[in-house]
Amino acid sequence: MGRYVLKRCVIAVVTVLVLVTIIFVLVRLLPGDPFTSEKTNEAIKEKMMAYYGLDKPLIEQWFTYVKNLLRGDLGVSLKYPGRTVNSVIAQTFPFSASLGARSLILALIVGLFLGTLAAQHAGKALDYICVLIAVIGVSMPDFIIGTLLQLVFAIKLRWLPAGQWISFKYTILPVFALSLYTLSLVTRLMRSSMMEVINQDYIMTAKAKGLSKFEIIWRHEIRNAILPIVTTMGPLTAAVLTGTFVLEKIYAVPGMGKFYVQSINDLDYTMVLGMTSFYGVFLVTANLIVDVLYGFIDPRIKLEGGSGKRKKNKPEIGVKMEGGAADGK
Amino acid sequence: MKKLTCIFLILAMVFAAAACTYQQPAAAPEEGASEAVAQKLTITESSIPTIDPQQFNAASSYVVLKGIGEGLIRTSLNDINPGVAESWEIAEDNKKMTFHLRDGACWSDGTPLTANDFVYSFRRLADPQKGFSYSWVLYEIKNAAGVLDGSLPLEELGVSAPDDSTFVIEFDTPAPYYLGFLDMPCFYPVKQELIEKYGDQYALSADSMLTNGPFVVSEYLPDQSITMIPNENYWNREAVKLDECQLIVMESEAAFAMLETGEMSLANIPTAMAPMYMQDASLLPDYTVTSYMSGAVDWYCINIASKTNPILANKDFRLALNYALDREEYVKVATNGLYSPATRFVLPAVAGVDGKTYCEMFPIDTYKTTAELDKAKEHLNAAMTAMGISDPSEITIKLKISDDNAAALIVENCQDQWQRALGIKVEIEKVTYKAMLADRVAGDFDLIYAGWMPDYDDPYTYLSYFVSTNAQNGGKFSNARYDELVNTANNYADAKTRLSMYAEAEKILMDEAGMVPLQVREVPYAYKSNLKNVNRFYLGSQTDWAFGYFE
Repeated sequence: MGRYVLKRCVIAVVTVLVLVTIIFVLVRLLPGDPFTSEKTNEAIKEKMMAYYGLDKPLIEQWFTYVKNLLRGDLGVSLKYPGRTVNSVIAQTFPFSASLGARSLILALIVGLFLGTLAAQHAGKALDYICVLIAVIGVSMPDFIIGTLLQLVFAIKLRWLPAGQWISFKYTILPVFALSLYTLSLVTRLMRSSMMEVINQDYIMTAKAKGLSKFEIIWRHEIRNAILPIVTTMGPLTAAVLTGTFVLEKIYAVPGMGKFYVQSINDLDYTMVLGMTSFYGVFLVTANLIVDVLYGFIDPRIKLEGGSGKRKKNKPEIGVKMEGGAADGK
Repeated sequence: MKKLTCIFLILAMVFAAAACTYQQPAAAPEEGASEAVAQKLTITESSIPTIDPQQFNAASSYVVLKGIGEGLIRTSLNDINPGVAESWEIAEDNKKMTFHLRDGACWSDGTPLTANDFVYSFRRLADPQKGFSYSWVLYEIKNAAGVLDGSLPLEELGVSAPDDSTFVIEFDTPAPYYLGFLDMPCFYPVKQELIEKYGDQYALSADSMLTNGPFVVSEYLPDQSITMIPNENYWNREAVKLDECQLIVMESEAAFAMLETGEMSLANIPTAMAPMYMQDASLLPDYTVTSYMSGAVDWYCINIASKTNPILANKDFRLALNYALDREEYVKVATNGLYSPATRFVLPAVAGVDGKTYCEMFPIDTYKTTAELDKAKEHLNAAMTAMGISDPSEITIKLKISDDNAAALIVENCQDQWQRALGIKVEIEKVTYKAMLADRVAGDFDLIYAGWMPDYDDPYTYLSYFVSTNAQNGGKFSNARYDELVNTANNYADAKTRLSMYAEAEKILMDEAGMVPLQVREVPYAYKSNLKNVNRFYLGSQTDWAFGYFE
């Protein structure tokens, strides 16, 4: 087990380094430079490039960057004078993480409940209602649901504040808007996974044993059906916790989201790299945790040497999730 | 199953209950309304990259810096008022300015602020070891070019302090417009002790900075929110009526949503929504909806030196482009008449003499706001003959615009107008903002959508752009007479003579069709109706709130 985790950690570090290198090259290929503006001139631009060490050979800059990165130093922003990327993340990540964690918890509770409910009542009215909610949630983009909620509950009804992140009441709208997509996904996944489990022989056995309906659902059905959900949790947690550009923008949540997008527009090289590395580390770690968690949920999966089986258990949806979550940025 | 349902139902109810109990404080917007009588201003900007005066690199930081800082002078609308300097003299040849600092000038902690602090701050901006993006403002000052590129020592910069209360600026060339320029935040003083103590970390928290303006920073979360309270040691403390100003960093759409719920004292109205709110005052009952001229003039920069499209070097073709445009049409279609069509480069509001604006004194009638199709066709034919082209559809020009520009609709309308009126092909090319800037400097375009904001109240801030030696002049407009007029006008002490030379130069720029003037921008915004004396103006910080108050 220890060896497995160690091996995964090494792979994780290599993954992040490859990621950083690719982004390092790509961001430099973007046309323009960080310091050209409407009013400045070439001489001052070059002075600034030199000040930030951007006039050195690219390979030297890469070595410096990676050396600092391995020490956990993400460098100095080019747009925000004097600010380190570390300080920007330290200041903004708590907001994004708080928004993400709340919506994830809400999505899980409601999603699992709706999914279970739908599966138990498959083909009946209740099932259709749950599926309808899930379809609406998946197909409605967050900027529509976000602005709609803001319009109705903040601007028209004045029940909740329109923006900012100060106390609980400020969190309700953004958390709900962000959770809707995840909630719908969990509902659909849970429903289909549950339907599969219901028809298994061991459920029949449990029924034959005379177990109560609650015990069957709780101990046999949910526990077996939840596996695909856990798989999706890795990338999903990383995506949701590190900020969502659109909803943070709509609700003026001072999170990380805007830095992902804005830093690319500003060609703030260090910020782009820092944000990407941070997200990369987060995603890799979340996946690692999920893999370890697997062993606890399904004892059949042995961490040592059981990689083939583990892969088989990972449903395709996990890959799709990453794409879907990235779209939300 | 029933048990499970029960558990989930209970959970759901707990959640709902939690939500309900917390809704109580939110359901009291009256509270917020009564607070408005309190002298607390809440404003917003989409980004505040820095509040270190010399690090200043974005107009939005100006809004904060003008509240917490003060330079030698202080502008208010068109007026130049005393700031730290109580009075000043400008030498006849406009090459020297002497400032007399007020008695008892001090920092917010009460320690004296002297002329040496200004010398230190100017030298800090000129430091060749540092990367300050606004250091170009110094170029007119004596020896600045040499100091900036490191060939001369810092001490050679043309600023000095003969005594503690006298500060002198010397210029290489006459710079009569420079006085108003000194309200730029990069000229505000900083204290040497603190810069040396904090280095790059200066002004990244409320404790690591010292200011001298009407307000001090009481709480600062970089690029998130800034809370400012009056500076008790400010020389004009009694003019400061607000008790607090909070600036929250957020996007304009979110800011406007907060304004609609009454939480924002003043905010811009997103352009797309502006017509609706400007027509119907009842939509925002507690607010006054209006707009102000931001000073931005939009135009197409023409690449006269284009290697790929030689027809752009043909004056008749450029004139045809200008005459074919119905400027009233795109302004109406794309902005619902909010912007006003421009037929020249200098902003109509720029000051002249004797209470008249420069544009009123020297009207230029080369182009009209509507299209003159006969003239356009005539010039197009002349251009085609000269270039040996028989069919206008053989001519293709590309219009470049940055992909984040809200003016895309205007560009599309121009495309349509030119295609219809001249029969030429017009293609729109969208690139990122940074790529657009780089392409403009590199001359990699046919026509590029450009905007220009004034730095001070003088035509020179616009017209210096098209001087042939200016690296920013990416279209390479070059005219010897134009250069001579713009470069020597500053030698004339008489303002009227000087301005008439600018007018002659601007007329050349129009007659030669060195660019295609488009429009003057207006920024729609709303403010609490009882908020007074908050100026929004094309010069200075755009939002000058320091002496505002609620009635």
